[in-house]
Amino acid sequence: MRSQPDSIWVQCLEGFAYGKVNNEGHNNSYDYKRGISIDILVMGASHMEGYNVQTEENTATLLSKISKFRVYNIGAGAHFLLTCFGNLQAAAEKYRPSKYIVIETESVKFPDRMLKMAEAGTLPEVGVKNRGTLRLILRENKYFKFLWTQMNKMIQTKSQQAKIKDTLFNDSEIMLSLIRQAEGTASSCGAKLIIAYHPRVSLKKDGTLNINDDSEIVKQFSDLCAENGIYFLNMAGRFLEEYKNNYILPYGFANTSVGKGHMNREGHRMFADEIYALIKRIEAES
Amino acid sequence: MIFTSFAFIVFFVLVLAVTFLIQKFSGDRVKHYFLLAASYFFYGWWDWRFCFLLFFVSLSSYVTALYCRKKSVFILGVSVPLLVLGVFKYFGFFMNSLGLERLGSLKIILPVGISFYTFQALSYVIDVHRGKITPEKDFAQLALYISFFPQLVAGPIVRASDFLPQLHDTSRRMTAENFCAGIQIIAFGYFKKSVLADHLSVFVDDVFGVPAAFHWASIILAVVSYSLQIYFDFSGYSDIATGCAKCLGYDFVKNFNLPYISESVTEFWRRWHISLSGWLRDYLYIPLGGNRHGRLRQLVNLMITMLLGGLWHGANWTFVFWGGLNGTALCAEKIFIRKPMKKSGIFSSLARMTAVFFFVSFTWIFFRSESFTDAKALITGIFTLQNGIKQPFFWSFAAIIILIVSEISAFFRAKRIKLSSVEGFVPLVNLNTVTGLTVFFVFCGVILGLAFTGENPFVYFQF
Repeated sequence: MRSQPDSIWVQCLEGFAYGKVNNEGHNNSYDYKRGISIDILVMGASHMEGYNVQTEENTATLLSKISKFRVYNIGAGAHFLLTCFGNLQAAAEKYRPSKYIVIETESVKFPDRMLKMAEAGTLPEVGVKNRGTLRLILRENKYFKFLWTQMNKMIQTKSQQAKIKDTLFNDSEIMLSLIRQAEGTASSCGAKLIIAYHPRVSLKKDGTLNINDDSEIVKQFSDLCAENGIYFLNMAGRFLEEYKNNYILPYGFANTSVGKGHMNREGHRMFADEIYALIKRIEAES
Repeated sequence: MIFTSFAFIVFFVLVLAVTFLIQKFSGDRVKHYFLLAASYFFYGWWDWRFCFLLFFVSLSSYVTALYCRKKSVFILGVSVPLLVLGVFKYFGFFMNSLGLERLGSLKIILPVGISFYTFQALSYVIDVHRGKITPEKDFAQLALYISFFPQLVAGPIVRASDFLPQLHDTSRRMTAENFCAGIQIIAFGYFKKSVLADHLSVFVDDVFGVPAAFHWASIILAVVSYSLQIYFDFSGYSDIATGCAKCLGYDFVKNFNLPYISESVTEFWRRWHISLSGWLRDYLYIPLGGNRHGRLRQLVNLMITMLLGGLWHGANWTFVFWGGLNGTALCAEKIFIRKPMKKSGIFSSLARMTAVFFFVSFTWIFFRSESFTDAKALITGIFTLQNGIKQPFFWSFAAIIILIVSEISAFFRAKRIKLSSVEGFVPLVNLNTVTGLTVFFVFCGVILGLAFTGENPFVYFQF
């Protein structure tokens, strides 16, 4: 969910970070002005929003530093891939990125029900609605909102979480249609679309790193992207390499479980490096 | 129903309300029946079938205690709880250890808290046999003593001689004073458990789960963190149990007395899990002969007590080894430190405290590890200066600082108000004042805000 414009944020549930969002409520180190020329537009969920890392350490800022392109970050919590597809046209029309649109995702596997909703444009709106006294109190008072979240988590049972996970599968026909639509939108403003995928990881008993994804589905998704002119970046290789050489994990903070949760500063560094490497390859090819 | 669940909070509020009404409009007898029913409901929440087991242990203790002057009845009275414990907790372990698993195995679920209530039942029968207490005539009172919900699943192991007189005492009632003290002790317990222990468990579980992945310094930090986690977890549980009982008008013995300020392993065992240490001393070590038959026999008795104490914690050789390590240290202290330690300077005291802490932390490796292979992997990781993930876990440092600051302040507070050091640990404020109430509610807000929200049962539930 986008923050109030120009507000200060402090996050300490995972790591500790603070900062100030820009005049649009997005986590950028500069304000957006109408007509400004943007080279790369970054979209995605809380990872891209730079949740729990300083603004100077998030992917968009690092990418901007190493590529010398003007990068604008509109990543916002809960905006997963299908939501970004839904918002893509409006975002492309408003920001008119001239070179690339990068959409971050941690999953390429979605329930059929959600794919159908995405295709029909009926995905639920992200964010707290202004209906009801309780919701109003929660929206206005950050501490109450936080307590509400804590209590909900305490009451939520494991079986409920398991139920949600068990229903996941992938409908390639609808996904193909969404991908084509997204590519068409990016092309219409002259930008190339990059879908940057960062899989979840876990540690094996022997101390090595495991990539927690279904390689068949990732391959299927990657092929769909390649066939339709979208660049697909898979971070799995880089994560494995970084762990093997330096024992560095892309997720987790000093106050959370290692390798779990949001992307940490190292994860953002790797992500920015790999996006830039892909951009260089694309530039070289063209 | 665990103490940190929403279900327990609802349950406890209802129990408090109904007990208060019963107390106001009826007598103690009805109150005891109600608390007994509530305790069985609390226990049955996990698995109602185990209520029958609890009832059976209570009934057998009640009947045998009435006639336990006869040796045969006394043996029966002691054998039944031991047999229940043996079958439900150790049957599979002994079959596996003796290589007899091929002969068949019983798929038995370990009933929660079985080690605690069988020990309470045992102590009751033995105390009656010894003439220390008279047999309880009212079955409901005895059943309530064994099943009283605050201490049912993870102690403290309350003695019949401490608790039954409280049930007979008609002046014991729910009062505003007891309630104010009780809820503060409960809040303190929740802070230890939900804020400190549960957060520490995240890091501890990571490292103990995959020791091969971590840097040696991270492994040491995890071992230290486990020492803190188990202390905050178990003493937090004991605090919540004590606080709940206090709200209802009953008192439990202190189960922990700042164990990590101990200057010897012997002292540690006087401060750690006091109700179990006392139980083992009175019902195992002393009957074995204690120190009455010479030095060698004393050391053997000590070792047997600690090995069985280790086994009590779990049906696994790692627990026995843990008990053995502590027994060895106790024996070594008996051999080499013949005279009581003299008062020494602050630095030598601190050095001894640190040495004892690290020794105890080392032994916890075997307590926490699921197998000797896992324990070996951790120890190897430390001594080979293994490379791996460096995780300077925030909650470990926070817990260390909180422990040190609170122990120092408890020590001086207790000294000022002339109480034992552990009494100074619970910062009781006067809830009749605005300041007191404000402090209490801010503290509750801090607990709710910082509480770990994942699922994490109490460590001692498995015992």
